[in-house]
Amino acid sequence: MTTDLVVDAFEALVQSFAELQITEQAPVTLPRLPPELWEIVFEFIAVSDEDQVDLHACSAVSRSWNDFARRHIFRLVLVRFGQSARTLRDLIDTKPQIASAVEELAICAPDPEGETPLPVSGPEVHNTVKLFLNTFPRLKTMMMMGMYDQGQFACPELFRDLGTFTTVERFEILGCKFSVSLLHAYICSFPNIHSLSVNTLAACEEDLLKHPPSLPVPKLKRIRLRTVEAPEELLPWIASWDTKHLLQSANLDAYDWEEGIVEDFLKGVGDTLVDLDLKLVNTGVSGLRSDCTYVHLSYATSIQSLTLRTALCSSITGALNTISSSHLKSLRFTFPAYSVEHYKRYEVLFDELVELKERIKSLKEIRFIIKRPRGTTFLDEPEEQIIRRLFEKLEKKSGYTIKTVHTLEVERWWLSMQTL
Amino acid sequence: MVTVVVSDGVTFTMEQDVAFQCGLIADFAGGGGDQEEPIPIQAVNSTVMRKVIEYCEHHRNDPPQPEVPEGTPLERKDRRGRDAWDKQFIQVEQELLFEIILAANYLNIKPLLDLGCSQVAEMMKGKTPAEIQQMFNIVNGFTADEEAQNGEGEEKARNLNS
Repeated sequence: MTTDLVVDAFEALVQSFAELQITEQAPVTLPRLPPELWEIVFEFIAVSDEDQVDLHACSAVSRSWNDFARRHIFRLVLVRFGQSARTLRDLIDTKPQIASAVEELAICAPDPEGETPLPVSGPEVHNTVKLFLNTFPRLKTMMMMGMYDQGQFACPELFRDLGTFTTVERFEILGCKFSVSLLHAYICSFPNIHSLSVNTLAACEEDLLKHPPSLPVPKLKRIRLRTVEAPEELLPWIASWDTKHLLQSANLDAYDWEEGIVEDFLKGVGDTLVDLDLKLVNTGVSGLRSDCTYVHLSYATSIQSLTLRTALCSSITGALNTISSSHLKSLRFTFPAYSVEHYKRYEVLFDELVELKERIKSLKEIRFIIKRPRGTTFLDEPEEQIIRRLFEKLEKKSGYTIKTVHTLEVERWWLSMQTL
Repeated sequence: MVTVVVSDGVTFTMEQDVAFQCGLIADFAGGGGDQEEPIPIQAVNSTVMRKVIEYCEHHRNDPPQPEVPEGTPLERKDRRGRDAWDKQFIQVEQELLFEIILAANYLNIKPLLDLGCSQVAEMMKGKTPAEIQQMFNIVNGFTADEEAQNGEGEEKARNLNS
């Protein structure tokens, strides 16, 4: 759904709800299912109802369904700076009760072809963000998407003075350019975040390591970094945060890892981290890099679930050798497959997996996810047969048992194995 | 093997990997070996339990569902999709469908709960408010003025997307 349509939908919804605001609770008959299960039904309706016609219909079924529907219709608000943000502000001025339904707010960069040119002025950005944050009392997720263009940073210095918003639990940044200093100030506005996702982050040109402030986000449990620049600056900074007793999950994917960066990160958080998802090298178009190294996982002493994404089995075998956690239950490998040769490389892994099974008694499952570009046909026989034959060798060698082979999508095979 | 006894006194015996898809039974059994005493399942009758077991037997080899953090927006989007077997399985009378949903909730079988709820959602797609009211026998409690406004809102919504 486009942003404009979302805003148009606001207008229609405001009309349809005009006289239905909850002034009294009339008797309502819900058929058989308790409200919490109807809530799940409505989630399914919302997921598949992009144009919200069904939600509109449900809103007119009964008072309680009106309440259900309104929560879903207004749960996620997408606004662009410019006209759509102004329209939304006007609507909320007119119908303030809408604000209590909003749980997720995504603020997007202006439409490049729209009336508001890039970059948006600092005060405009600041005032809009601050207004919305102050307007939605149940806001749980804050997303900033695509906020810079041509090197012009659109999140202004004024964000240092945004205020404090304690209801926000998830904070996501996508396609932005930040200095660590400003990012720090911005995240500090949300002291209760459990989850931080930073996707396609570009670092500003300044020496970030001179004064890396420790971030007071004591409830942070999950962090996800995707295609970030300058991980050598971000990861040590993150490791210094006041999250040592809570950070449980890290998903790290950078353009490149400099030697020791991940290790330093794990030194800081490795004793609480139970779930680590790591892209070891750039496995983009080519899927190969000649200077690939591996990371030492010895500091990840509490790890229970480990995912390694790489094209090179040598990176995996190197990393597996360093696992020290005696809690490891699940291993997941994600490989790209660009030729039959890739499958043959798996055999390199097998000896290591046999050894690992002996060393890590807690290991219960290994899962291989093999990705192949959709439509490629480099195999003379059905891929599933090749994979089965390959992994049967591992069964014979190791005592692992192939439990299931699933076809998830056209380009993806999923192998699940369990130890005996 | 795990044995349960349901509300109408019927006893069912299942293999562990079938039974333990029910979170409630797994909790009862403590994840250990065979149970000697039948586990009482008072909130489910034998007709519904047969359907539940049929579902669990079909999905006994499925990979475990990835854990989704609580509160993840639209978290159900990424859950197990409905395959042809599921679609056929859940084509049941509305009364039984609701019983299956309630049983899945009680027994803590999230994929079956999702399957049932998504089927109810499917049934509501494309329906008018009046059709939904009739389908589920819902008393709306709106005043006549409110109903008129609903009609206008619905019309606007349809125009918006036409």
